[in-house]
Amino acid sequence: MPVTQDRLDWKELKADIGAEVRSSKAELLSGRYAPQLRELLEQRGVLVFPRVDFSSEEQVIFTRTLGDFVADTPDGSAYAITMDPSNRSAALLKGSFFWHFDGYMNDVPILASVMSCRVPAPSGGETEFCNTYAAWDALPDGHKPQLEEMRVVHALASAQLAVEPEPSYATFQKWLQVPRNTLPLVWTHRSGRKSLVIGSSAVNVLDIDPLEGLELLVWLRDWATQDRFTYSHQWSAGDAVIWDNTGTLHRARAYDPASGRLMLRTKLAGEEPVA
Amino acid sequence: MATAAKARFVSEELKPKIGSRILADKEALLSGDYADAILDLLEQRGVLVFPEIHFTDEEQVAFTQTLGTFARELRGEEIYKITLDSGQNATAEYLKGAFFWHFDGFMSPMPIRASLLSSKVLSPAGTGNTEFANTYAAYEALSDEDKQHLDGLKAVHALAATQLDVTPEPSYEQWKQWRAIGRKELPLVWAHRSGRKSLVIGNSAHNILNYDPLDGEELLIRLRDFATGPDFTYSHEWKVGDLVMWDNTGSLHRATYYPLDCGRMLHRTKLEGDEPII
Repeated sequence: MPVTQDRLDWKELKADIGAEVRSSKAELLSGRYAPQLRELLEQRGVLVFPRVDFSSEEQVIFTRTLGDFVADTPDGSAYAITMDPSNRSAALLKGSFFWHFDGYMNDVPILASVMSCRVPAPSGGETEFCNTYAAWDALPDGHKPQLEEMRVVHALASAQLAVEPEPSYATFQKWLQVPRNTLPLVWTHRSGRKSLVIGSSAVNVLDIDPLEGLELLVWLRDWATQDRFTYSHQWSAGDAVIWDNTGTLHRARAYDPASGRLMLRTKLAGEEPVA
Repeated sequence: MATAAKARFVSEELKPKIGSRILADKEALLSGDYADAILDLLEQRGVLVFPEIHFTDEEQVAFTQTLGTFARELRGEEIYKITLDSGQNATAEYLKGAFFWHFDGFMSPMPIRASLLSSKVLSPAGTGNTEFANTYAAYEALSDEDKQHLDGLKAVHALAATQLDVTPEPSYEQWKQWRAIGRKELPLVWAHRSGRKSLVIGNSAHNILNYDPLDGEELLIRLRDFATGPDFTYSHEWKVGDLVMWDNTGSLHRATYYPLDCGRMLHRTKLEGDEPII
């Protein structure tokens, strides 16, 4: 029998975001710390498992210990993320170079993603996270009542315009086929905690002049992504991370598309509507 | 006399709905004798090309002055050097917005009438064309339904919109610098004194007043895509010494990609506008 510790072994990465989990792969796969991991995820935004070396199957198993697994592929295996031109979604992936959360088009966005590194980029390709709970908490109190009333339109078109600012009309119409969604600017979670709902998908703030609304969105994104709320993960092969998609934004840093960088992603179903 | 004059100044169409090439010698152009003909042609054709005319800066200034009121640059210079080399141009960063369709001077009470560009140093072959779209011709080709729909609509133009294309994720500090330039509401359709109408669109247009922002973006993209289609556009591949002049009140323009550090250099002069966008 391997020696197991009686509690999850972890340490903070930065005061306002991130934890490094040092429990063994066997312990993680056993599910015995799943409740603690869920709790820690919500508290820290992103958990890092350095060189845990999950196989693709183990990553699926680990993800399943934490909640409702969402299949991303027809056979339920982990989804490969690569900028290699053979990937037909590579163009859409370019949107991930800008701060965003996943699943804004759904009223119940996914709870979390697990991502592991198969092949790191030789340089660049970090994944960055910011804690939108901590960013909200730290806002000056005077701003909060007004912000809590606001609603924001999110659309794929907005995220894609950052990548391709001058699309053809045909391209723009394809983007519009993903329906827009209106979400509150501030998510009051069931736990009572609050987080900012922003990112590259945000088009405009309802009932506000569009340029002024955009300014507000730029300010809040700049605020939430300042150094104190962010953690930048430099990948080594075998690293895995999980992030709370309901309380963070994330983005990838630039890397050479031909570098062979290859990541595997699995997802946990959302459990709570943005409200 | 008529024969001699004809030999000194000949024009030919580049494409049916945009562009003419002017074949004339320097002396004929600098004489001012053809100024009215050039201005008429400019309004009709949107863009005029004077192939390898090889004006010096002084000659370019003098030629510009034959056509109307010369517009100096912000700091009083007569010639603006267009290069993305930040060593030679303090505002090189802003110029990256020029890779997207735009017109110049959306903030001015009267946008400049015309700009003249002389090519001094080329970018590598196949890069750095300047492209023009005729927004009179595009408007005229719209359906009656579209024309009716656009009548009375106004768009908000702002520097921030042009810069977001280049820097989609600015810091708030950066945003505040853009905001300081201000914004301007302009009609989508410009009814010129001449009676002709042109579309007022481009990368400075951020949203349409009293329109849902995403729906407004869709309309702006549809109009820009239509106006910059092959029928209404001319792409100029530069040779050293070429002079190109465009009607800034009835066209959009953009540069196609070129390596930023390649040394490409164009010298620009401008004619003052004399008509507000209404």
